[in-house]
Amino acid sequence: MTDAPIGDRALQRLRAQLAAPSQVAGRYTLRGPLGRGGMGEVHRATDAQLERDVAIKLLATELAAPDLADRLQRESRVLARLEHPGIVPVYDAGVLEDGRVYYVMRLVDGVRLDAYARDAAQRGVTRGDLLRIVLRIAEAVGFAHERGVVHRDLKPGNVMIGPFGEVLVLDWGVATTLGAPATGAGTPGFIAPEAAQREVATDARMDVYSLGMVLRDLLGAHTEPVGKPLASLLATATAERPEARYASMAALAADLRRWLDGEPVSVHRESPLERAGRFFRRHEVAILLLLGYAIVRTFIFVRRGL
Amino acid sequence: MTARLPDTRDTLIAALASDQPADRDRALDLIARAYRDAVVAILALRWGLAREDAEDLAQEFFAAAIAKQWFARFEPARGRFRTFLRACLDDFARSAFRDAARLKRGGAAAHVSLDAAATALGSDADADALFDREWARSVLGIALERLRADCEANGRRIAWSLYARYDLSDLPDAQRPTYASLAAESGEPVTQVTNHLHWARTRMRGHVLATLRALTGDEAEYRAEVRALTGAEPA
Repeated sequence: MTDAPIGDRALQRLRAQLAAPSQVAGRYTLRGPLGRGGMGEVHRATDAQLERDVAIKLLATELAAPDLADRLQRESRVLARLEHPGIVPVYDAGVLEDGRVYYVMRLVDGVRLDAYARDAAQRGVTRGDLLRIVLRIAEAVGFAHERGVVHRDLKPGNVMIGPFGEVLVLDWGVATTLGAPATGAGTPGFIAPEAAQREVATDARMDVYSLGMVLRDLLGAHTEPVGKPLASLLATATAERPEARYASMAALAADLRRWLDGEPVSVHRESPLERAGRFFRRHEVAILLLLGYAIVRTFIFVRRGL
Repeated sequence: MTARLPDTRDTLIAALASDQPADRDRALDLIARAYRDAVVAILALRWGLAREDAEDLAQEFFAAAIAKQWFARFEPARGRFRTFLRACLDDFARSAFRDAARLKRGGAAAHVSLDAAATALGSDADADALFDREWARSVLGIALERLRADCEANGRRIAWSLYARYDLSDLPDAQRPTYASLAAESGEPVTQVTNHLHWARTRMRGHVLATLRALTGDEAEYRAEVRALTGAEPA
């Protein structure tokens, strides 16, 4: 292998790998990179004290500017405030000798939602499963909103599906407080139209829009036709004007839950036919049993009459 | 081929000034291997030479440097060895092109093409970045040779093969093998793949630092070169 010159990508990776310390805080042994984001690199590490594997997010050397160090530190503090099953817990944080900040979090050996959705059909994932994932995201982000934190970069790549099916919202690096000026942070295709305007105050409905786009993305990968209630839910979540959207993540979560439970969603007025259809789908087994029983009883009655 | 480096306790200066010809030769060989590709790249970029001509001139440069003991004049207090070597190279190339011009005027065949020099391109920043990248590639290449020998010597061929497949893969991230696929290929459990890779990376770090130690004049230069290669402070 060394007979061939090192390629440019491999060279870049090797240099980045060498930039990572082998030990952090004399306690964590780095065991290789897991991924790289806009702000830093995430490494698998072993915590010698507790003898368990963890993940360490470390500011990339070429990005060691003070504002990014502040952002990574802010991210760790935001995460530490958000204790929720849908948000990765932070265990520790600190600064390396060379000034690079890092934080230690739970290691999740999972699959990013974009990859998960891509293989949805092969995995036998139903539309209901995908909606349940979106509901879990809505619950986690809604919890953050209650504590005054807006994620601002919701997208399938920032959600991890854990080995036990747990749904974790990651990458809170551009999260900010409700009411803070928008800075255009976010990802094209998922960012709310008003979030790109810097003079606007950050609002929870920006995350509602982004999650709506995540849902649209996931449903787009699924072949089943979307019925009117789900289409209305989607249209409301991704409305251009914030005032036409769900007022909160909790309201979107409530409608997702209703749809999953076979109940009418708040943003769609059902016709009598749709109501009957939904009633039938919801009580399909009971109705069929009742119908079968009625047919048998009728048959017996007719035979006795004869 | 496995590089035998000067002892990590030796500095480049000590090796170059050694009264032992073998030590001097090893140091010069290491310098040539660490800088040859960077020198060729600079000659091609800054002096507009075709690859083959740049390789020939690089060969002449190192031969002249050894014959005239240029590198022995390096003083760490005055700057990095890399900067010193670049200055030597610029002087050498300028002189080579001057000689070529003289020969051309005299009607003899010029060894170096003046037309090429006239079209030399690339800003100082481009040249510096290119020199840095090629130097880094060579230093890591030397360290990789040592790692491979290390793996062989320690009965860890599997660690080398996994490291080569994963860390040295030049594929984009999405197309690289995963730990799971490496485990399936090698018949090792994923935890063992992780352990082998961790071992190889730790050893590689040691070889890189030893190579840099052997290529620098003093502690300050060593630390500066570790920073230049990795972007991080040495531990």
